[in-house]
Amino acid sequence: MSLPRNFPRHEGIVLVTLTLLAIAVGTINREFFSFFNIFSLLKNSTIIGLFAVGFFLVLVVGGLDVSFTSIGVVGMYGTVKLALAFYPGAPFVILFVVAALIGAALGLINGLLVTRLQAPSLIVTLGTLSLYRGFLLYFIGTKWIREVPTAMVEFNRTNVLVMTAANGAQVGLHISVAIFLAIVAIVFLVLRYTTLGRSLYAVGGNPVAARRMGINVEAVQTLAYCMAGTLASIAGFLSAVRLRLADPQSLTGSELDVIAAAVIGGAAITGGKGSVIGVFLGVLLIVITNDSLIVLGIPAAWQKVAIGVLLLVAIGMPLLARGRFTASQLRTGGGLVRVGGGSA
Amino acid sequence: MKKENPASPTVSQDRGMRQVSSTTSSTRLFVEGTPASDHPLLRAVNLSKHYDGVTALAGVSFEVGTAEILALAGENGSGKSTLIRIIAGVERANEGTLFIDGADWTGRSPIERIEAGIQVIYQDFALFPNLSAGENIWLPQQLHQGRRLAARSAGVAMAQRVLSEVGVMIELDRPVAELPVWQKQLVAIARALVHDARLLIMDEPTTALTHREVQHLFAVIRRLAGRGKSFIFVSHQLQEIAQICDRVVVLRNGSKTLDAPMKDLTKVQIAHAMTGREIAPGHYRRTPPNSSSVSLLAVRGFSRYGEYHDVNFTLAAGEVLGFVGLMGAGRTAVVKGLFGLPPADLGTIEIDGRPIVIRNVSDAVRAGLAYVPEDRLSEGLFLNFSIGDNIVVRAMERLVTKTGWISGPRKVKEAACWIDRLSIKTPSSRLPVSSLSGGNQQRVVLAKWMAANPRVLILNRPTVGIDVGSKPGIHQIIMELAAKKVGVIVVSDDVPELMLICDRVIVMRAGAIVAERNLSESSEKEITQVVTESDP
Amino acid sequence: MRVLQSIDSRLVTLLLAAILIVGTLGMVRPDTFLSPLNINSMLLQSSVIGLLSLAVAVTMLTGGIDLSINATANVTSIVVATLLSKTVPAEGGNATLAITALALVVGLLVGFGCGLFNGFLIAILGYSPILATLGTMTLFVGIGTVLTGGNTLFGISAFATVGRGSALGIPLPAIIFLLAALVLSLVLEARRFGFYLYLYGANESAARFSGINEHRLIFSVYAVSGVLSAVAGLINLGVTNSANVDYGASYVLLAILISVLGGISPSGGAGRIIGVVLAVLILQFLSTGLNLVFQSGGSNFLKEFAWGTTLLVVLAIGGRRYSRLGRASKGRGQTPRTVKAGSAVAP
Repeated sequence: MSLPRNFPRHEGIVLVTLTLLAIAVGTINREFFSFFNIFSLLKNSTIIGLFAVGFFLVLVVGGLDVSFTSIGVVGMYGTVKLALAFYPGAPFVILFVVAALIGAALGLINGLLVTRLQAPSLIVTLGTLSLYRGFLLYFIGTKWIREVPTAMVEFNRTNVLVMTAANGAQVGLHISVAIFLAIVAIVFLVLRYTTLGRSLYAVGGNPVAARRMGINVEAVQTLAYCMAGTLASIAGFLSAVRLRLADPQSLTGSELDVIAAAVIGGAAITGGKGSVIGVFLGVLLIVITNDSLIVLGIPAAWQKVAIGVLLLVAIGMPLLARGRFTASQLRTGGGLVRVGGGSA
Repeated sequence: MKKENPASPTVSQDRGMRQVSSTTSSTRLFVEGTPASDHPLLRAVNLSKHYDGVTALAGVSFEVGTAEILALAGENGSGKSTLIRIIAGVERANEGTLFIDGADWTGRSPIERIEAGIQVIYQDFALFPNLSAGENIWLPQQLHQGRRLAARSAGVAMAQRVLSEVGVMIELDRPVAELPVWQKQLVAIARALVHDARLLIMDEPTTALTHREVQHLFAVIRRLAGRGKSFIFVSHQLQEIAQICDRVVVLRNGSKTLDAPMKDLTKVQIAHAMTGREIAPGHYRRTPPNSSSVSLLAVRGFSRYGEYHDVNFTLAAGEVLGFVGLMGAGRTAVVKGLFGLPPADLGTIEIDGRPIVIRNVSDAVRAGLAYVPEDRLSEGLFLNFSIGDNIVVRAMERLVTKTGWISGPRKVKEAACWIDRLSIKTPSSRLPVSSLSGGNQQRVVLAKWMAANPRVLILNRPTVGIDVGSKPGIHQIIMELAAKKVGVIVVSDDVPELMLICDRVIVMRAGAIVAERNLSESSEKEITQVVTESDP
Repeated sequence: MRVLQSIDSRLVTLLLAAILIVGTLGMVRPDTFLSPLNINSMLLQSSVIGLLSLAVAVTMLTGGIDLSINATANVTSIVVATLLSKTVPAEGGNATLAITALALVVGLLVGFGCGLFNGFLIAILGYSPILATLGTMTLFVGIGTVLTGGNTLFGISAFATVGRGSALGIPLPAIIFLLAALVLSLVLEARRFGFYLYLYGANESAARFSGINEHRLIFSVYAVSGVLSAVAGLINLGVTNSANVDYGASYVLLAILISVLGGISPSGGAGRIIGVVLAVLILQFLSTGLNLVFQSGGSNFLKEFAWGTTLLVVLAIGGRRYSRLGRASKGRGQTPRTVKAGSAVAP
């Protein structure tokens, strides 16, 4: 995304869809627009959202990183175990930083493997997905930890914003939402206003040209994976905070929602396209869809169906927009290896 | 020495290009022969380069002065690309030195050469399609400066400034992928200028431009030369070289065969230096095509929205029909339409008087058409597969048993047969086709289609990228096909080549047929005139 | 006239690895590992994942991928199970031959239909295979969830004979798998369809320009993948007598791992079925071996760790064969003049 002028295209469509959906649900269920519901929706978007932003960053440089759930659990479980072993009374910031560092390290490994192995990133990260998770569950442990560090418990009670609902009750916006929004804002600014951010897009758009410009393509790609890992780990950590429980077997099953959010939000599998705002909107769309199906009278069993249809439609939109459905002319990034050099 | 300008369009609204400054007379500030400093901007001395026993360059020396437009001419395989890569610093010469402003820069890195003002604009422009035009112009510079924060507004201002220097306006907000080719090229030029390029090396810059766009490009080049920029214009198009360049350096087989001011040369001399042979005006002798009443191929009202319109022509069995025109005239689109790639929107096609419908390639192949594409490497061949595999692709019906299993021995025999018939130089049909030279690779593509026994063979620029010595061989094959009563259509930019092999020539312009000539009655000059008559 | 020798050296490596593993495990645990019971069990277990690997491999050969294989397998078994539970008396009755046959046909049709849908999205609408099959995977899982209400369907014994049966001492499911591999292998190596498939996988545009019918190819490939997945689902039904949506959660990854290990290039156009079969067996041997040696309950997790490591090691050894084959190579310094100026994709 370079400029607001591009906004009307994909992100705009998502925004419109989102609004329509919100109105549809809101008419049936008046509660939809209450502070409680909105805050709750935002809270539910946080974990998926953080995963999705990380996933998106890798998509921008032209890669695919499916290992984020594994990084999430390793970061989460690892932090808690470390804290309980060495410093149970650690302040939240320290725990947060430790989680981020674990994620950064794992993401770094991902990046190095993808750039060195010259293999499709989908397959490499499928490998690390298993590697990280298997390592955690076999060598570290599988037990639930209920006695998480107090800092986490305290943090979970914190709200950044308290509003009074219609019925007089106090409703709070959880602080994790603030973290999520802050991260979204930071990523937005970095992508748009720093040369590093523009380099990510450049590498995704034309890695060969980027190299000629003197951009260190491998370093930029590795950095993207590193950032994705950091965000994934933070997401995992925050999910443990919310549940007050560290379960190393959790977080599986959300992969599809994350990928769907990014794709629906406008990121292209071929790389170089999309915006973090779009991803944010995509996440909201997914979350609202999931949460509101019941309200709309659709049984929960249909959730996956709905997401599947949404995903297929979202992918189909840019194809439709180009008018002619000649597969041979329109196929974008058909397989696993990106055309144009670079196997990120 | 002042160059004559073609009348530059003073008011040109086409394609949204507005000129910021009028260019009715662009005088050069620098006069050739009085260099600004003692040393020429660039001086190459005795550059040589070998790859695995093949000599790409042998002792090439030349100079480029300030505000000079130098043509670097040569056929494919002459060493032009190698020379450029060495100047850009992407490759190291085995011998020889490179001087910039009199200092030895032989060992310096590409980045340092960019800093010294040497920039290459590659054929593919190396732009970022997903970023805006503006960003493509200012981002590399800011990256180069080591900036962390992207100063967007300053960047945009700089981009606008550079574009005004070039004399053109482009919408800076649009993603580059959406721009037409000539604007992409201007973005590439502007990006080079932002880096304070003093010498721009343009690699085959006019390949994808229409005639009008080429003229615009030349106006830009002249304007920039007027401000002291130098150019190395790499090309093998004689007309363009003659039009724009001050001086010509010709390479052939890695050596320099000519180095003289343009004013002292004729096109024939340049061509001779490039090919080593006189262009023999002549014609391959063979039996004239059938003049039966029913044409082999009759096309009427052939149209495709936005590409070509109301194309009508016939082709007789054994006739060689040439399609000539400027870039963008629609020839490739028409012949691809015949082949179903994609099909036309309107029109009728008749083979032997019977109408047929062509909606896709299968239909075309079934009707007896064959198509040898322009880009033989990615569209015509399966590089990692064997020569034999490549040849038999379209002959499979003959090579399977009754129950449909592929017969290995039959396959080998078929391949051997074609290798022999077309004189493909290879010790074995099992070798990968990537091991062959360009000329032999083209023979493989021809073999593939000949093995399908086509009635009509369409060739799109069949001898491009083939060294001069091999071209007659390809022509020979075409002639043999015609002798066997196959109808041949050849799309080419090379008028002399068409003069050699065709019976008739059709000239296209802007998607329509504008002329048809029998070659026994026309001269090369006449055809060329018809072709270039298109623009004011 | 197959593609380069590196493929054959891969097969040799696999064969040696298989022998090595069997030999080592045979020495370490001779009673258990080499017992007929164990061999039987290993062959049985490899059938389902083997069929899924064949499915993924065949789509990868075209340069695409089918992520919906497990979802297709499960939805097939669910549909068939639902059908059977409605037509077979609850207790004591074994399904009649007619009903079993019908169920079989229905199952195959479900897989075929799923595959055709994928083919439609990819060939006609132009979706990229990753995204298309990601979407259909979600869709199929969703449909399966709706049909089962999230529960497991039990007590479907119609296919138990297939699941438990054996011929010549080899479990029937294994025979089915090996048969499927044989047929696939023959088609790929000795029939036109296979030849065209390899060509298409290596270079799409050249295939198009050569008149290879792209649509028919893609439809066929994804339909085959769907049918193979369906068979896997039916076998699973026969073996476990149950059907649910969550079965085989890690199978997609495993199938991809096996294909890549077996020599299938993810960019298409290279790799042989025999390699995939060898890879299936190797992974099965390793899996069983791990179970025997590390008898703790956590062996599943160790396996996950092992698979991840194995995949990465295989990729590392594989080297540059995975970068896009068939891209225009420069060939003796003559660059084609027709590099499209202005296209940002550099050769």
